[in-house]
Amino acid sequence: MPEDVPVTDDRGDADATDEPVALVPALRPSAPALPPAVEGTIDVAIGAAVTVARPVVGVTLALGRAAEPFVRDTVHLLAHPPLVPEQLTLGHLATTLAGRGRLVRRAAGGDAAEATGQVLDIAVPSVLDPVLDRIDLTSLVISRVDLGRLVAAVLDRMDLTEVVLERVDLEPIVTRALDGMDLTTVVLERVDLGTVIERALDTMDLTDTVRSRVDLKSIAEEVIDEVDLPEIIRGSTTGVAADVVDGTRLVAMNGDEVVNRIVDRLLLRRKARRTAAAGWTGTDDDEVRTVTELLTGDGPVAAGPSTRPEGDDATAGHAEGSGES
Amino acid sequence: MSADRPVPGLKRLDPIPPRARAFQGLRAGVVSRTVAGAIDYAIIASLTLGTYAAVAIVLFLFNPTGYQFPRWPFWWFLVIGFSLMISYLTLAFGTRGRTVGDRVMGLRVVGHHGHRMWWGVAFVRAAFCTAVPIGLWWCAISRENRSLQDLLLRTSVIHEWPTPVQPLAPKDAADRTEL
Repeated sequence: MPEDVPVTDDRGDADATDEPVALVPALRPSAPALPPAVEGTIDVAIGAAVTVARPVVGVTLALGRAAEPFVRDTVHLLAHPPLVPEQLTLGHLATTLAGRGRLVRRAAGGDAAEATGQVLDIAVPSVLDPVLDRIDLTSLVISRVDLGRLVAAVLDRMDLTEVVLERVDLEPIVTRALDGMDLTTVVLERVDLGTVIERALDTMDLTDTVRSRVDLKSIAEEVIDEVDLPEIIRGSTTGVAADVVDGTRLVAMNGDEVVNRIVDRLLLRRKARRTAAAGWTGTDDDEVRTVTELLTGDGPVAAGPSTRPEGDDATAGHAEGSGES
Repeated sequence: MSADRPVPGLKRLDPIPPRARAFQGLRAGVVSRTVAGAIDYAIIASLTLGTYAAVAIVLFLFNPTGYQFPRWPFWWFLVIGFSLMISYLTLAFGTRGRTVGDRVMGLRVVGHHGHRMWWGVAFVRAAFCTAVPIGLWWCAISRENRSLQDLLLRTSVIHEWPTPVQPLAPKDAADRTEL
């Protein structure tokens, strides 16, 4: 309850809070004591009365019990004397009067109850309100009532979830709570997500869930449509053979270099071989570009002296025109 | 040359390994050419024996009861083999400049100006290669890696690895690293 809401009494009179009533403790440490002389006198009187009254009462009760049959017979004889018509006896008169009185009592009972209720409606608030105003009922309940037991008993008797769902508008509460907190941080700091996920996965059949909820067929068809599967298969099978051929060519090229080097040493040559072919500007097969050229947008590769190893000194024309050495 | 005609949208990566790129267009050495020649000789030998087998089968079909394997003198095989070799080499030199062995080893025979040779030159070179196969090994001694046939006809056998046509979209090419 917000603190700024004014406190009202049961009649909705907000002015009742204008004149605060001083609360007194409901539990006094001890009752107000009488003067010792008065207390002594009272104690003496009570002792004497008890001493005298006890035998008197005992004797009286014994006499009553002994005289009870005689008294009962006497009363019966007086109420129903012999040789007297029943309508004229005292007993009949008493019975008749009793019946009439009963009828009157019953007829007046409802009115009396109603009148009593009206009296209580007026009297109880006028008495109870000042009393409650002067009693610290909260402290009284806290000190005198076993709140734990009370709450436990109440909770046992009621379906709290049902009550909350029916009586509480949860949406604004949850919204305000979520607005005021960083839920992500709270979850990350307070929740062992690994355990939660592991337990969730333990309790669910993920395969079955995926099969029932995911359209695997359409996904597979979409993937197959996106991927050129025949090309991949063809590439993977021809790649091995191409690697073998490339390796063979490279080995042969190295063999060329080794043989050339040996022959050149035997012939005491000091200059490198001139192996550039005249006029060759690239493959006849098709346009070939390196990745760098593709990215920079340059033209096709012009294989020529610029691609030659070891800085061959032969130009195309020179190599072509020089003839055999 | 097709390199001079641009094909919009059809660009492809260089499939030649980086180690071999620098050798493209250079004359090949004796090892590469000997291996390529050995492959070609094996092919011609197979074709020669295949010719003999074909003739034997045809004779069997004509006379299955009194059939006997044909008995050819050895020089018949030589003549058939030489004929096949000259035809085969002429056809290869005059068209793509590659025999099967050359294609396997990434070689190409080019003419005087680095292009495809004339058919006459191709025939003479094929005959010379068939008659004097040992002339190939002169390229080990030559400073320009030329065989005897190359010296006489001013031809060259160069490294030129065949590159299959694999058009790639520019986006795909940009996403890949250099081979």
